[in-house]
Amino acid sequence: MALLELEGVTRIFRLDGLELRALGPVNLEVEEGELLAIMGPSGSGKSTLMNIMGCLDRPTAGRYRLAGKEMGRRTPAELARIRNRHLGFVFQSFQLLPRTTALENVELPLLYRGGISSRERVARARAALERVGLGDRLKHHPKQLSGGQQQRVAIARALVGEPRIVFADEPTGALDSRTSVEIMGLFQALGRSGITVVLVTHELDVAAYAKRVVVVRDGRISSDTRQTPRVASAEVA
Amino acid sequence: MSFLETLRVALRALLRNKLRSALTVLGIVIGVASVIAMTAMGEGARMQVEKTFASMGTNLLVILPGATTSGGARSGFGSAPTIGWSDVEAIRVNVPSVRWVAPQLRTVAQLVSEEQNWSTQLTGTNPEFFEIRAWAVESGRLFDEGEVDASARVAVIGRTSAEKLFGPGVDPVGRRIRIQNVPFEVIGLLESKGQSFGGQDNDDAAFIPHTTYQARIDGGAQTHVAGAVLVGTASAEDTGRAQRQIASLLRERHRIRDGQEDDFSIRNLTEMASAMQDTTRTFTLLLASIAAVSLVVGGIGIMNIMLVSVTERTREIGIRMAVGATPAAILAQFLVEAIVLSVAGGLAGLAVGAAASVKIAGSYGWSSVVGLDVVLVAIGFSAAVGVGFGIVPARKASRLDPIEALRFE
Repeated sequence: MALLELEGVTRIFRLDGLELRALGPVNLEVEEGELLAIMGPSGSGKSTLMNIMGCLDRPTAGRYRLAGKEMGRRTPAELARIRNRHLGFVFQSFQLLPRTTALENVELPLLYRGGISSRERVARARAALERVGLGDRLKHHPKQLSGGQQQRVAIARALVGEPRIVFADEPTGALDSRTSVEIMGLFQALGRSGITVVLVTHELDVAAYAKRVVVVRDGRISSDTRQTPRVASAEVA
Repeated sequence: MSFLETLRVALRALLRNKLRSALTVLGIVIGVASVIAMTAMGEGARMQVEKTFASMGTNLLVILPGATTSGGARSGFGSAPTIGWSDVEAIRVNVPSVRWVAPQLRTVAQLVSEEQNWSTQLTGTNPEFFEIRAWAVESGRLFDEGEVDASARVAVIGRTSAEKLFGPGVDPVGRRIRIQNVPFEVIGLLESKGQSFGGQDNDDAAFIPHTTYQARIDGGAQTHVAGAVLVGTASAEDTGRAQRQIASLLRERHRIRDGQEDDFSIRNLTEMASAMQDTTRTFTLLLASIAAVSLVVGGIGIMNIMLVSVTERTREIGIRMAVGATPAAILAQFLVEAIVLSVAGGLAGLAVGAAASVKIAGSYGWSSVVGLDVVLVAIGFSAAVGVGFGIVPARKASRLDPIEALRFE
């Protein structure tokens, strides 16, 4: 059984009585531990696909199972709890809380999980930041960090809850090429440790690091290929 | 997320915009402070009224003679002595709810001691007067029935008169004074009663038997009471009945036919007292409701700022939702922020209101009363304002779509 299973997933947006099919129908299976890149030009529906897989959005039609459980008809609160327990997110614009230290940003998912003592939260957040090589930046605010460092904080935040899947939406879009390589190295390291990574990008250079590339065009999957990934020389893991 | 964590997050968010939070709180401070000050002052005024009426005597009726018509000119109450001494006795004998009856003959007289002289309110009455007015001696004794019958030249004086005549702290009992050149012995000093309802000093007074008053001050015994008659009943409930019974007795004795005007009037001070208290209570309520309007305005201020805050922090809400904050957790966070603002305002308003009411009441000579109930209501009410006006922004925040919120610039 695949970790993620999409069957005829469709997303239709209604705007002023107009129906806009952003996605679908899409069939896709993602195995545990895969490093998958979703590619496509802007407006192709790749972000919509990621949002549905990431339980940030619900499909209009079709079935979506995460670890064998149907996600399609859950309430926003149930989806929030699933995101909190099983999923991690990395965004193009980092999406860190401003005027909040790196440590507190990383603690955030644990805060909403509940039942974790403040001491344990700090310990786990610290460990996650060390894992991404930011053990010496715990008390820094996002503004005091470089773009690459901010994205590492975001990755630490995605990892702190020990998710099964990490979704990354254009994670290198705001970074220079050298930093991008470092960040991709981090994602590859996650894949090696058994975490499934779903990467959304429109850059071939970035997709090159993935084992599998799915191309979305006009809301449908136009190709699904496996490849030998490029290896980023990252010293972090 | 636990409540304490929610509270911590809320406090951090509020402290990030200190000036804005302080200004928002100010609206509630003003609202709560004015409600507290108004109710405290109203309560103080009510107790003042109560105290004043209590000093006049409990369960008290005052019968005033007068209201005569001679040659077409109608004179007011007290203008003619229409109540006979026999009427006084008849009331005592025939009206069962009457407990005490005391004549009150008054004039302003010059009192002369060996050292000083002092002009004061002189009252001729009987021992029952002191029962009606619940007035005891501080030293010495009151005059008794025997002394009234004997027209004894004995006087009981108030604290102020005693101090003016003999100097402060001197016990006047046993000393001799002259009233209109008639020598009297001071046999009692009355305990202090403070100000009367009209602002007069109750203690600036002297009391002698009414028989002595008629003989020595008014120049001979009369058939009618040249003043008022005080009637004390056993309980407050009796005053209304006693008033009706005395009225019909006097109309019968004075042969007043139906439709004719009474030649006396009866004032029920117990009823007046409760009417006054109702009035002050109504006023308190009125003032408090005006003050409550400002509390509502303060609540609208909170709602306004919270709506601005939700819009400004849309992205933050999106981030929190993405990492797993449920709509309920977001709702709780913004609701707690609103409640923290309003309760902080409530507590500050309580302090300001209490201080203001003590100061204002002090300048009027009233006692200001900030009861525990008022404190609890103030805090409860401000929290309710927080919930009431915070729920709309909080719901707005909790219903945001995480994807939209993350894209918000």
